[in-house]
Parts: sequence; C-alpha cells; structure tokens
Amino acid sequence: MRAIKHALAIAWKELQLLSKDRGGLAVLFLLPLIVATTMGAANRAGARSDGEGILVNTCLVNQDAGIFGEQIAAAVESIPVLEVTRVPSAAEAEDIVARGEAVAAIVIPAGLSDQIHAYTPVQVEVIVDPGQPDAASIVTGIMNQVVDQVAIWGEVSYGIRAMLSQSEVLAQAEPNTLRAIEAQSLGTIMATLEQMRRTPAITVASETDEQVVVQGGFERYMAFGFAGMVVMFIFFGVTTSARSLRMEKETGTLRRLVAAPIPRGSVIAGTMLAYVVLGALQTGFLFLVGRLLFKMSLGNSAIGLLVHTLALSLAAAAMGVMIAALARSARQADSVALILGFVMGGLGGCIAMGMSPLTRSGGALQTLALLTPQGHGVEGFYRLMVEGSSLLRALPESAILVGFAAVFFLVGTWRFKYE
Amino acid sequence: MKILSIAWKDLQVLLRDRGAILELFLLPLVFVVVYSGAVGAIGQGDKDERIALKVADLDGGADAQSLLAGIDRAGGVRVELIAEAEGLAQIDQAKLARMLVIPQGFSEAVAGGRPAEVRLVSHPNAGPEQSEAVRLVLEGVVSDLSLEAQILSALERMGEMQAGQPGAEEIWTVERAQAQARAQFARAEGEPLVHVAQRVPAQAGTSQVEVGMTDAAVPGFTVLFLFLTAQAAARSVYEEKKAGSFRRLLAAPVSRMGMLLGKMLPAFVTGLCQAAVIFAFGIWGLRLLGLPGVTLGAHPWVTVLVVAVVALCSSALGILIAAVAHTENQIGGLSSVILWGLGTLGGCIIPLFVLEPLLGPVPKVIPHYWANRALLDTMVRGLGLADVGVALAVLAGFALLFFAVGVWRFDFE
Repeated sequence: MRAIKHALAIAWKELQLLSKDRGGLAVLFLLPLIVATTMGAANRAGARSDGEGILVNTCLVNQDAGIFGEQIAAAVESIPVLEVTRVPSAAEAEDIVARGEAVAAIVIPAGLSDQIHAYTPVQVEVIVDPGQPDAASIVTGIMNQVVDQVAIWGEVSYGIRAMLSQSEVLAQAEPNTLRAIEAQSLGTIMATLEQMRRTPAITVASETDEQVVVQGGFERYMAFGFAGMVVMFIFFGVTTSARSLRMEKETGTLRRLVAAPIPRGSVIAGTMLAYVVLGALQTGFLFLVGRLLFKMSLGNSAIGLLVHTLALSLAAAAMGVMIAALARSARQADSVALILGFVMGGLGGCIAMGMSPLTRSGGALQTLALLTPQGHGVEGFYRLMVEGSSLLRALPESAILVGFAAVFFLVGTWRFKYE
Repeated sequence: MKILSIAWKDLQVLLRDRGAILELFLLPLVFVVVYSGAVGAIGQGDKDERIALKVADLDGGADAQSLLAGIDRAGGVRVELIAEAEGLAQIDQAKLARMLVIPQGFSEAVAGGRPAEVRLVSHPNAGPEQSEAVRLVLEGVVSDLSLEAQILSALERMGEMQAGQPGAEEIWTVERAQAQARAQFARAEGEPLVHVAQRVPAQAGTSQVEVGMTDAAVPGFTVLFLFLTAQAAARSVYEEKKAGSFRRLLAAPVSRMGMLLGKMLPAFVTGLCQAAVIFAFGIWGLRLLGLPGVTLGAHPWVTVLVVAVVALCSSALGILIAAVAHTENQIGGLSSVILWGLGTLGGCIIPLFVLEPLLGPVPKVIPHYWANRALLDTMVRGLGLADVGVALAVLAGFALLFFAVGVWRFDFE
C-alpha cells in the first residue's frame, strides 16, 4: 500500500513537471494536431464526391483536325477530377508541365483521325510531371479509358471496309449505292458503340463484401489516420520519459529519491504511471478534436478504446524506462527515442498510406509492422474505431501491447542503475 | 577571421554531440526510406512486385484462361488462384482485400456473343489505390477481350443490313466475319490502334518513363531537415548564454553582428553537410537497397546553389529563434512545433498539388514552400537557374528578414 502511495506521489511530481514544460506539451499535443488536421482536411477535400474535390491541373493539346481528336478532347474535358486548360502547342504544354505548373499534358497528335480511318496505329502522349507522381498516374489511367471508345470505332470501321473490299460488286457500284453503304457502316458503328456502352460484352462488377459493416469512406479514413497519429505521438512521449529519468540521474535527484524510504520499484512505477496518464490525455484530446472537426468515428466500444489506450500508453511508458536504462546520457536517450519513434512509427504504419493498417498488408511489410508495438496499437484502434468491433476483438492487440510493456519493463528494470 | 574561429569552435562542439549528429544525419535517411513508401520495395530486387489478385475461376474455359493470361500480361497485377468459399471467408476475416470471381459459363457466354460478367469482390476497407489499379487493369483486359466479340457483332449486323444486295451472301458469311474479327484482335493485342504513351518532359532530371515516390520525397525531406538545423543553431546560442560563455565572447574584440554571423556559419555548414549526406544516400544508398536512386537534375550546380540558399535561410531562422525564444522549452518544443508545422504546410510531407487547392495562397508565405518548389524544379524537373530564380530570391529575402529581425531582437546581455 505504501509502495502504491509513493508511486502515486512520484507520478504526481512528474505530471507537475510535465505541465510546466510548455514546449514538450506543444510537441505532444499541438504538433500531432497540426499534422493530423492538415492531412484530414486534405483528404476531406479529396473525398468530396460533388465534383469539387481536388482538381488535377491538366493541359490539353489537340493537334488533330478530325472528329476523333475533338471527341477525345471533349471526353477529357467532361471528367470532373481534371481541370483542363487547352494549350495551342505541344511544346508549350510540355514547358508548362516541365515547370510544374500542370500535372500532365495530353497531346492528341495531328492526323489522329486520319490514322484511325486508315487503320494505322497512333499514339496519344501523356507528358507527366515527375514532381507529382501521384497525380500523374491518375491522368494516365483516365486516358487509357478515354481512348478505348475511339479505338473500337476504328476497329469496327476497318472490319467493315475490309469485308466490303472483298466484294467485286462494290467496285462497280454506283455513287448512290456507295453512299448507302457508307450510311449503313456508320449506323452499324454507332449501334455497336451504343450497345457496348449499354450492354458491354464483358462487365466487371465491383462489389463489397456485405458481411463486413463499416463507416463511410471519409470518417473511416479519419479514424484510421487520427489513430495512427495518436499511436505515433504517444511513442514520441518516450523521448520525454526517457530523458526525464536520465535527467533525474544526471542531476542527482534520483540518488536522493533512492536514499529516501521509497521502494526503488515505486520510482520507476511512478514515472511510468505519469506517462500512462499523459498518453491517455493525448489520446482523449486528439480523438475529441477528430470527432468535433471531422465527425470521426469512435466506434461502438468506449471501454475497448479505454483499455487499448491504456495498454498502448503502458507499452510506451515501459519503452521509456528501457531506453533510459540503456542510454548513457539524457541527450543520447532523447536521440535514440526520437529515432526509434520515427522508425517504428513508420514501420508500424502510423502514417496512413492506404485504407487498412500495415498489419494487413501482407508480405515483409506486414511482418515488420507486427514486430512493432505501434503496429498493434494501430490495428487495435482500427478494429474498434473503423470496424466498430467490440472490446473482445481488440483485446488480443491490447494484450500484445501489455506483453511488449512487460518485456520493456523487465529489460529496463534489469539494466537500470539507480546509482 | 574571428567569425571563422567562432564557427570552428561551434562545429567542434557539434561534432562531439553524437545525439545531435544522429538526429541531423540519420533521421533524414530514416524518413527517405520509411516515409516515402519505399520501404515496401526494399530487397525486392527481381521479385514480383505486382499486386496479388486472388481469382476464383469457376469456369475454367478457354476465355477464362485468356482473361487470366491477359491480366498477368497487362502488368501491375499478379494472378493467384483460390477457391471461392475460401476467398470469401478470408475477405470476411479481413485477411484478403479483394478477389475476382469468374462465374461458371463465362467462356460459353463470351463465345456465344452473350453478355458475360466477372465479379470483383472487395473488403470495404481494401486500399482504394490498389483497388483502382486492379480495376483499371481488369477493365483494360476485359475491353481487349471483348474487342473480337464487338467486331464480330458489328460485322454480323452489317451483313444483316446488306442482305439482299448482289453478292452479299458470298461476302458476309459467318466464317469470313470470324476470321476478320480474329485477325484484327490478334493485331490489336500486339499493337493497339490507339495507344497511350506516358513520358516525362524532355528536360526532366530523370529519364524514367515511370515516376517514383522517392523522386518527390527526397527533395521534400531535404528541405524539412535543412530547416530543422535552425533549432540546433538556436540551441547552441542558448547553451552559450546559459553557460556564460556568450558573455565572454562579448568581451572579445568581435562585433555583435560578426558574433551572430559566427553563430550562423556552423549551422550553414551543417546544413550543407546534411544535404550532401541525404543526396549521397538518395543517389547511391537507395540503389544499394534495390530502389531507384534520385539525381541532382540536369544542372547539379543549380541544385547545390538552391541547397546553399536554403541552408542560409535556415541558419538565419536559427538566429531569429534564438532571439525570440527565452527558455530551453521554447527552443526545444515550440520551435519543433513551428518547424514541423511549417514543413507540413509547406509541402514537405503532403504534396503541394494537394495543399495548394486546400490552403490557397497560405503555403506561399512559408519558406519551406519556396525551398520545396526550387528543389523539385532542379532535381526532379531538371530546370535551370532562370526557372528557380524567383524561388531563390524569395528564400534570400526570407533569410534577410529573419536575420534582420534576429539582430534587432537579440538580447546580447
């Protein structure tokens, strides 16, 4: 009982010190807020389905005088995600892309229509800005689909002409007959394209698995993104806890504490407790902001969130003890904790690069993510907040975090020198 | 000479601080590898990097085989067979992101000219980028596969219209139409009638047709970490003040301006060394890890000049921070928030094409924005001095402003 009392007193002292460290608090609370809200706002803009989402600046050069060039140009201009500017020459468009003022330039070559009519392969060029690879791939993907219809026209038209050319009767036909055949050809092509549009020969039906109930896309992403930020910045608290313990040693206050009638375990436990509380406060603050600003989903299990947050904070606090024990100075503890925080945060998938955690990505990345406490931290929050699962489904992840905490704590207390 | 002595002393102090060395030189490399999305490709070498697509082939016919071969050939997606029930169970348990189901009778429908359908079943949380990539590949292959059927259908329709014309029965036979459609399909497979070719501008620093994430990530992280050296400069001044050695320096025959320049110089040199380490890693280190390396662009000396101006701006910012921050917490914590926050808003972490429509002109008042633009222009876009002139002028202006305010607000006592 006395040991618990001492631990609580040390935790209170540590929390008081933390509350006076405005810089540290800014790093732990304000910085994740700035990063997460900027990312959130950027994603909200991108997720808008009303056609006013993020527009990709694209230049369009139509050098073709025929009908197909204009058809392709009109199709490109009708695509909502592209902000198309017509440019008179390919050189000018290339220059605009080269200066990074447009993501891509689509160049429809001169004679495209003639070449399609003549059944000669033709190339539409997409010049992309290497400085904006994400956006560039969107334009190329769209163009592949746009040219498909024109290609079908050319193929069907050629097929008919090839068949008709085998007819000797046609060679001697009167102009009226030839005009009638041309009209029939045109009708056939139009009917084929219309049929292809309405009832394609083969369709790809995209379905989602209805067994899995999830939130809307944006709310889902926000829950995932914010949870990742929370996990990452809870582990940045390791720099503060490790430095704090080392500073206690370096300034001599640890020796005084040890000389007092306080069990040594209480000193460590008290420090850890303070950082568990700090982690819980960080999580609560960031989730509250996410909820208020972005209507982020918090899932259906408040108790699950609490248990997982505490397990995560415990793992981070124990890691702080281990680093403090292994480091030779406060400065070293600070640097090692910072670098580990970034490395393990990245490998654990704290920055949302897809729509699901790295622990589900398969291959080497998944294995690496599963080896980090951050990976399990993100996975647990994902189950609770994105999938709306119960405490029971997130519990294995929380248990693994407690396991990490136990290992870190054991190594830390084994190697920690009080003198 | 006295300025150089102060700078040399500061550099010696910095070299003994292993923690600072790790943060300044190792952390940027960690970012380039881990946060550019490149880590997934490390060690892949010749391994198949395509997205794995599980396929439940319930048909097993010739057209189903053609579809699978087409997907495998198209690039980007790798076909792996799975039983339908097992695949669905794995999707339910979130172990599998998506699965393609080719229904029974698919080949018969395609051969008979009847509409056929394949189902792409995805977990609701399947990564949208990969799903989109898979969908685009599938649409393309399916479109190619249906080309023969569409040509055939059109020829049959034309034959019906021509019925009754002299010699029509002889020309519009089923066999001839099929042969014609097959010949065109075979040709389109090897050489499509309309082909989309992607390339980068001729003057770009890269000769690759495909553009990679590290190309854009290396300049962004270089800028982020170059500006973080401002914190080291500010900390150095603070520690001198705390230890009292700054007052001793004041007693030395060095002008106050000279003293601050002497404090700026090591931060400037550190910035240059930092950029050299990041670029060396980007050029050679990434290749050793099996990733595509970056280049310094078509005009490497312009890249070096941009780095020098960014380092100058950063070291001047360090003097400004040292002037306005009064405690270690303000230097360590608040300046971290400001520098990382400005890095985020200035395009070091989130691409500028996403930020600019969102934040309007806001990024343009941030030095990181101009530094990012200038480095991307030189390293990735291969532009020259004339093209980055405005960005360099703006950065120099920022440096002057930071230094002037820093000198004005600096408490020498």
